[in-house]
Amino acid sequence: MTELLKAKKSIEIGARLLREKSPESTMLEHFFLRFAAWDAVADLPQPLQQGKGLYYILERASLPIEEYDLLLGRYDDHVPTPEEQEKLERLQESHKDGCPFEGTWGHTMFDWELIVTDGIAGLLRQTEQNLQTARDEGADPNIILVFEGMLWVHRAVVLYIERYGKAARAAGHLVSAEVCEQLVKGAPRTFHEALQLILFVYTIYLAHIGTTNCCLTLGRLDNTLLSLYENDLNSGALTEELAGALIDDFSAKLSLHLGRGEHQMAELQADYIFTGWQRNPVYDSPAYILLGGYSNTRNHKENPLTLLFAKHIHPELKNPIYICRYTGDRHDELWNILCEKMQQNASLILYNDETMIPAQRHIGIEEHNAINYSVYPCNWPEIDGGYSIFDQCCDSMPTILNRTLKARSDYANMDELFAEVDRTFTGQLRPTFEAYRAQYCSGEVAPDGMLGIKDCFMGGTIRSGRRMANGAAKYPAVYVRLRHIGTATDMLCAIDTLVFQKKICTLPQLLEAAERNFEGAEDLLHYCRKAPKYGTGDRLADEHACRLMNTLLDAVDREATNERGQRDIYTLNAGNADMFHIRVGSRMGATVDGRLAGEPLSEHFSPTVGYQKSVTSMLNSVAKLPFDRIHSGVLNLRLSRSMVAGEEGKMRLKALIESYFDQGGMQLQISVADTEELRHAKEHPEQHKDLLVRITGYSAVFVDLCQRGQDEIIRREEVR
Amino acid sequence: MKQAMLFDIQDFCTGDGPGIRTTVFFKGCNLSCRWCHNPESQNPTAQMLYYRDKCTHCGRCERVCPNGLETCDFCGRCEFICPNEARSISGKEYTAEDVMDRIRKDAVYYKNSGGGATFSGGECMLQIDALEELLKACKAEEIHTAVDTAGHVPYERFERILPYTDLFLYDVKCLDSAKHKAYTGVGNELILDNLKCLLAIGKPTWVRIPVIPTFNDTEEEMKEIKRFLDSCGTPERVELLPYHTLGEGKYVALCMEGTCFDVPDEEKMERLKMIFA
Repeated sequence: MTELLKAKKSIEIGARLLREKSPESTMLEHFFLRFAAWDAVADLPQPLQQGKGLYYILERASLPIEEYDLLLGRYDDHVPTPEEQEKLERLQESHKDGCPFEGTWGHTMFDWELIVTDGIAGLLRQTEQNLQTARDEGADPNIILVFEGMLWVHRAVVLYIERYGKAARAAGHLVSAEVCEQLVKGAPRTFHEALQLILFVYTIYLAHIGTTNCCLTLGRLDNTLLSLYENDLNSGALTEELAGALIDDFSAKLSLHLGRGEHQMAELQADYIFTGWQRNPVYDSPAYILLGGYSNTRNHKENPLTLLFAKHIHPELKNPIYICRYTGDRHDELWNILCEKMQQNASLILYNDETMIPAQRHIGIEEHNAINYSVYPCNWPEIDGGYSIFDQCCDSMPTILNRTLKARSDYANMDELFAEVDRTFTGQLRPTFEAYRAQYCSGEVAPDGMLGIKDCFMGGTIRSGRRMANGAAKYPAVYVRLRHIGTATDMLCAIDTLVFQKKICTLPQLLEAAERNFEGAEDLLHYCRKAPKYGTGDRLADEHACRLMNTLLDAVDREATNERGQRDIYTLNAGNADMFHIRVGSRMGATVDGRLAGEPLSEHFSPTVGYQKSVTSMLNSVAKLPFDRIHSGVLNLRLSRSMVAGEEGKMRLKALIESYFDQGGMQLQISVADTEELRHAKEHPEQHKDLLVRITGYSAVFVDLCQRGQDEIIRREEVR
Repeated sequence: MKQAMLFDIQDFCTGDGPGIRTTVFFKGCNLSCRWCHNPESQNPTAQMLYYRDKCTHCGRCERVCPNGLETCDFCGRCEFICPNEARSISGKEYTAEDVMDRIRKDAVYYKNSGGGATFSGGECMLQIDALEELLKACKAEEIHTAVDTAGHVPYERFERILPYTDLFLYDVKCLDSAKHKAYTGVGNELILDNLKCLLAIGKPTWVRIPVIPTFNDTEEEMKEIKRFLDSCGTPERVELLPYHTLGEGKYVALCMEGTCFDVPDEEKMERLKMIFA
């Protein structure tokens, strides 16, 4: 079988697995080995639990190989026998109190540039040397412990690759065996070796370390792998065709773990379809690959690897998710390919470099790092190659407004109300930021010596023996969640219109009506709903949305600056709502915009459903937000199939996106699905197994969503 | 400043000319096509649409009405208060600047898609002063313009707007004038003459033919139109627009009598389109 045929088969099977994997299947070996490793290392300090525990697992992990594999990196995933199922349940019961390992929740990124440049063998040698130096210099015992744990992690990865190499040789996969042998002794020298190394690290993280949603960003592979790719092409060791086949196999391997179903909405109520992710929480973990965008090293329009990756985006796969970076000086050839992929409903998310880079610069990120901005699943912001740490704060914006309105209700005008929003928000922010400052900026070595898996693949940590969260991060960052701008703006518009402009009611009357879920106040409810709404092109709503966002961001900037006037907390301001618009909404009483108790809030940066006038009005409104201060967030757009069909459809799609980004929009993700098609799929799921939709930052098979999830997608306004 | 009586302005129109467009709908028409899907477009003055099926007789509209519902002055209070959208005013006067504000909002989409503004109706050429002003304003801002017309106006009106109109969307219904009159209220001589003139001077024109079963949905009818078009010039494009039923509810709301036709099936549409391919 030729490499191309192997790659084709790999993609076909990857796509089929997504639709046909049994809900009863799970990564049984992962659970069994994990429990056994746990028992073996339980008495050790945590960094050694992490390191030796992983070594224990990778010493024993099975090493499946298929005849058509171009790259190695499979793992056990099967439907347990009754005996295995019984054993699994018994072990889960006896180990239910926790686990000493990482227990990672994913949403992370490693320093892939470093991994590819030095190889895992290089990292191992560096860690050995640094540990020796730390011991010789009598370093803090916690630092020595971190180095020791890290060393075992690196040894474990090398061991795994070595074992896989031997298995490949035994199976007659001689090319793969040689690749593994090189990776055991040194840095990758070819495109193939580098891609294999990345896949090994990914596989280990996902199948042998990860427990829940261990989604991982693989970074800017078109940049990271470029020099190796070009060297190989020049030397004749590689052709574009073969590189494409490797990328195909790589993509298919990134899809192997996927089960059916969706993790965010299923827990909301008991109507979920049993799809298997409940048995294995890594089943719904997306992998992100960034593509295109400005670069520190090369004119981005002259990167042939960007085009190659783009051509090998497979719309039938839901993994990997490609984060495609849009630039104002459009790379026409790339843009054309991406639009064609979007027409085919590919798992693709767009970010606008023209707002993202300034937004990173705004918080003090150096330019070369800002240019390398990144994104975690699910659309969470990140700084160059994972230099940040993970912490988050803040409530939804409607909650902030509700708190402000609870503080007092005798505002004479909107200026007074906004001043109180500022006070309320600042009061919430200050103690939180002071705590972050003490934790992340003190310079002291933390006494606990905890080692995370991310720490083992980051340059700062490998150099210093300090964790990312304890001094190794160049930019100690926290996420500031600014959610549900639509509902919050609609609340402000209702107050402004009904209380201050039309004087239909007083603010206490309005609040009282909302408190009663508008019972007995139907007229007022009606007026609230007729007030201007965010996302409709209404000038008042646009102004309030921007003013609210700027008020909150001003407070963030102020509080993130220390007494010496220097910004010491890097705040990544995120509009992500995940599915919290439903969750938070289900627990929130009625709001003054006319939203009844329990109804969803607005999603991400989207307007409240039901009020949209046209897609251009919506995009125009959203684009007015100060995205040069915002680092991530989602705008979901559902387009009808006819709207994007053919050359005219591609033109419309291009024009919509270009116009949104030209006006300062930040992010866009598109699902191509007709409302009627979705309704039909809900009734006849067996006929629509191929229908993918974008959720918060990943794709899902529509018919595997719970009923409420399906309704939510249908509820999104369709652009015809 | 000329006031234009409009019944709608729609953003993101993709069927009224090239690219992404904003379509401005003028109120008032000198035809009364039986298949008209915008019956509110025919009367040149403001009208109240009352959807009985949506009305719960809650009485809110009566309570807020200053004059009594029977002597409506289109103040809009009842429309605002109705929770079920049972009342809807069609027709509002706009200054050219108001309209341009709306058109300008999507200028970037026109630029990126090769779109622009389309002036439609009703019959926009009946309000020629306002139309001319708007077209001039668009051209001053380099916005592509299209005029969607049934063509039943003196040619002098075309001459007035020719310099500012990039494209005409020109309706042709049928070639038999008596039948034309029976179904639209007017004969087609003026319409066809005007089209001949436009095509003779090479003005970019898209001919649009509504396909109405029992009226003109035969191959013979279409071939006849094709022969006529071949004889008088080359329209840039010929589009067939299938009859649809989306406007039926509005006839009831306006207390107007409408005619129902069958909706032509896709196969027939494809067959008829082939005649012009």
